[in-house]
Amino acid sequence: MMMQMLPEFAMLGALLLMFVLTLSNSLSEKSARAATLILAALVAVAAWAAMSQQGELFSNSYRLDPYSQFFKFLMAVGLFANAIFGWPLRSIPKQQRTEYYFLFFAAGLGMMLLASAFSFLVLYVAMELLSYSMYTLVGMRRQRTESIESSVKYLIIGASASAIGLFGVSYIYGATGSLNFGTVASQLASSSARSALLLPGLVLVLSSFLFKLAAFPFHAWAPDAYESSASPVAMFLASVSKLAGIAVLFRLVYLVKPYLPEFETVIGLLALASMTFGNFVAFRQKSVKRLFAYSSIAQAGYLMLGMIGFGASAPEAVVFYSVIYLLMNLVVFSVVLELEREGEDPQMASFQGLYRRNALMAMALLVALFSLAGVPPLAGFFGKWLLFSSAATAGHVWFVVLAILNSVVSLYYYLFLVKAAYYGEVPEGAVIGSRGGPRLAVLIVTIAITFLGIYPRILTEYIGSLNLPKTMLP
Amino acid sequence: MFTEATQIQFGIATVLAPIASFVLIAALAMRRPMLAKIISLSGGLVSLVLASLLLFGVGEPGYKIQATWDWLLKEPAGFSIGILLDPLSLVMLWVVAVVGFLVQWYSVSYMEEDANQSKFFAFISLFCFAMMGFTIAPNLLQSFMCWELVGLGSYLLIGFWNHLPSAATAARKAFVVTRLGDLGFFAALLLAATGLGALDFGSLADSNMASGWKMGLAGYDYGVWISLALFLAVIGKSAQFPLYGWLPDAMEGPTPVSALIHAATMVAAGVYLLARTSFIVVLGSESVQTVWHGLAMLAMLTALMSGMVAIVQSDIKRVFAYSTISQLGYMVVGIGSGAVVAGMMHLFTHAFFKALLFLTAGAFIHAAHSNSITEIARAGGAKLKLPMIALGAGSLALMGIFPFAGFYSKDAILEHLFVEGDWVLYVAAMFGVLVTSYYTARVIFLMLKVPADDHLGHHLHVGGWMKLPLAVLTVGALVAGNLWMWKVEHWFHVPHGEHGNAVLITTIVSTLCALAGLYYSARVFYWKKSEDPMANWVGLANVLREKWYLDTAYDKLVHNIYLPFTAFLNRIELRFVKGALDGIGTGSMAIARTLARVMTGEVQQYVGVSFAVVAAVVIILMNR
Repeated sequence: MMMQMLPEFAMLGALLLMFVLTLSNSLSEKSARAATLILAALVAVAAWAAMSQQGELFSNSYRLDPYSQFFKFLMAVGLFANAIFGWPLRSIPKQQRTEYYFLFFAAGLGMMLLASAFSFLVLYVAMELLSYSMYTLVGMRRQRTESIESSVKYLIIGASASAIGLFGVSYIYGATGSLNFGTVASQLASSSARSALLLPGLVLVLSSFLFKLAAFPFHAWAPDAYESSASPVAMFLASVSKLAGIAVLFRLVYLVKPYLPEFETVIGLLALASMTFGNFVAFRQKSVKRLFAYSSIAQAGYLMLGMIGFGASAPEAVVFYSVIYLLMNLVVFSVVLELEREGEDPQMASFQGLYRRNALMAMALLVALFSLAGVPPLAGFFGKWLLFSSAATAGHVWFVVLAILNSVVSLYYYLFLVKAAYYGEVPEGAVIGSRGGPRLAVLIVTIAITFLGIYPRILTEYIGSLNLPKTMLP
Repeated sequence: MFTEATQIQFGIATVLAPIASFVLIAALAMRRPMLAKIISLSGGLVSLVLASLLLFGVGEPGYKIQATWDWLLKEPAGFSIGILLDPLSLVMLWVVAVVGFLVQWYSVSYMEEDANQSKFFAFISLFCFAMMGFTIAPNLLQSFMCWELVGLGSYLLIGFWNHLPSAATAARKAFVVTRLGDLGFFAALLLAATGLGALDFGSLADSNMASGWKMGLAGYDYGVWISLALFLAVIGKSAQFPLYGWLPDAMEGPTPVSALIHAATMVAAGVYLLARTSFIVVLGSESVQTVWHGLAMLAMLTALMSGMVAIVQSDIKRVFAYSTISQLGYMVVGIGSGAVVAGMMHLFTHAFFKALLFLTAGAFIHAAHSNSITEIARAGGAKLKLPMIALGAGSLALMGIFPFAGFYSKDAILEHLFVEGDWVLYVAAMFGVLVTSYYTARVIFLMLKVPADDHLGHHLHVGGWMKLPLAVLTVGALVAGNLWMWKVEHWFHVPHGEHGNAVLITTIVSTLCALAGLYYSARVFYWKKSEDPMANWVGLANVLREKWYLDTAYDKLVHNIYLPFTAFLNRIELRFVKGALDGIGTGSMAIARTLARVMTGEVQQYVGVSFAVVAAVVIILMNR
């Protein structure tokens, strides 16, 4: 078991070590970051080493398969990348900067457990571990009341979602007598044993996932949380924390989808609602972080649409998009961090003339935004193409048409930022030049986004070699 | 000498070296011209060395190796990228590498006073990459992509001095006109993908595909349609009638660019494409052969028309530009009438002597600061020893006088026409030889005869970096034909029949034609014993000065049909489309406003909405 759960144990070890380190008052933020980088790298190595582990643990409530192991690796890399890109920490109060890294690993452990959760109980516990770390992270900017307010809102909405989810679990338990994903799926397969309570139960459970993904109708926390939390935290929220929600939601959807066409439709409709809501409201935002919150609501919609695809296409599409989603958000939020000023959040106006101040960041922003909007030949285009064609092969052509129209709408506000960055006049007193951000890392990720768009096979082939359509099924 | 894997790696490195230069210059050296030159020349040198190793190290009859990698999707059409090395691509690759490197070398002097040198070298590297990528492409898709990139490179370099309105206009014209041809390429690509289900040359040329090529489509077979589509591409890119007007204007670019792109390589891409796809004639029906022969006729017409226009040009670069169109015509005549190897041979030799002529012209222009032949002569151009020798060698090669390179390659095409008994083309081609010789000699005699004006006080000199390319290419103009016959020709399976008579008669007649042109030119421009025929035939002279009224016709077309049509569309756009789009925009904004109103910041309301939505979904599902 030690070997099988190596990534989780590594993460736990890192968490405890960080805890001990934070106790010492003399730990500077720089050394905390260095420690985080080393520990995250070690976790990533552990996750890589455990890549081929398969099996079921704890009386079949915890499942190791290529899908979970790949996501764990991706999460570890995501944590590492967040420690690199989420710098400098100027918007977090000084005395809390080391704590920030501690919560990093706490959330990371929750995410990893979610990726393997195969029972509603494990799911609940892991999700709460992740959520509580996130509530604390969002409330970290204690000198600002908005930060605390949004943290409390986040908590209330999260608690409501959990409550509805647990209520759903009780239905499922009542209907099947089990909390295990596999048992639920096998009961669904035999139509005679199927209870009428199962579908409503699943829909209620969906609430918890929608909350984690910030998808409609549990999206309302996101704009406030993104805006009022410190930018490195917002980056964390937008990038790596999403992976956990994606991983576990898709696992459940993939299991029950063949037997429940209604469930498929519900997810498709909620996906459309997320996209439409996110894209249209993003239009009107002045604060850049709010804008990206709405953008991420819309992106969650695209991902959910890809989940209801047919056969082998859905796992490939979802995993591919997860990877590039991580990359794109890392770049976007690095630019936000770069433009952030002491105690002030970047507005649309802060992007004015970015090109003339910092050409590299402007170029990275351009690539990331075009990729988010799905402009070829960038990775986002191919990712969306996979998601949409996955849904289309399952017969949801109208959903796809509406999703494509949505992409067009999203282009408007993404281009608005690009226009400001490239054609705007540099405002007076604007932040000039590099602010110690990780320029080389941004460049590398930008190149990766371009390269994965031109030659996506390098990733799709790897995903194909995981044989997800088979290995994900019990 | 090298294993196949090594050869593939060499080939890839040859192609990638220039793009690496491009990226490095763009990233590091935009404000450091010295560094840009070093990077650019190093990339060029790597390509040159590797391409030479490939050409001289491996070739053998029937040589062909290929490596491809799946790109984007596995099915259905299998888009792949890769590299195809066979005699055809090796020769072309070498030509591009040699001329590319020499031109970069030469440009160090030529561009020394330019403020944007780094940009120039970056663009040249980009162009070399595109051209080499096109050369080694194993399928139509990769060919097409690089073909477009080549066009981009050409556009950027013609318009390099974009502060000159004439350069900007010329660049636009070149781009638009060649794009018209590219439509043909794209059509061929689609036809091959949908009709024949294959894009790579290997499967297209496979004998199993013969039935596919003969398959009918709208009254003709696929072979004919794809050939016609490809011809449009060739006519655009290789500047054949009626789309050749862009090439003389392209002379607005810096002269090294003209030498590389508009003489030696890019304009020859069309010819190369024809050679690459010449298997269609073998596999297709008889009507395919007829169509290809039709193209040869068109090319012959181009060769004669543009050759005659060259007679009246006073700008030295324009003389050579029209001469290029004319010589490209000869190559297309060769390939269209079935002499693929002879056509390629002419491409090979022409690359050397025409690049030489352009670089020589560049040396004169750089020294005398004028494009006009008489101005250059008046400034004392004839005193520049090396350029005059180069001009002489290049001209003799162009005329096709023994033992210069052009003699062998031109005669190879003519012999083929003789053997085929294609007398119309044969006689026309011979007349073309006479015209070529006449206008080429005219340049030299004008240079020699117009007296130098010492009061102009020019101290002419040839830039230090210009000497080596001129010297090397002068040798090339002398030996390129022999090099081909010694090293390359036996790789292609050329059927050797008994053509003793054809060779003998053609040699004699073509040499006589060339000498006749030379002699007459000397009488008119050197000895001044005869009057300039253009002074007698005023009508013809005017037609030639107006370039057969082709540009005028296009202008009329644009002004009377195209522009009114666009104005009409513009009205529709403003009236209807814009209105509709504005409506969509306003509508979206209204939706956004409504939706945004939901986000009040009241957490009670948020939770309420969430509960309501979930409850609604559950209730709907339960009551179905």
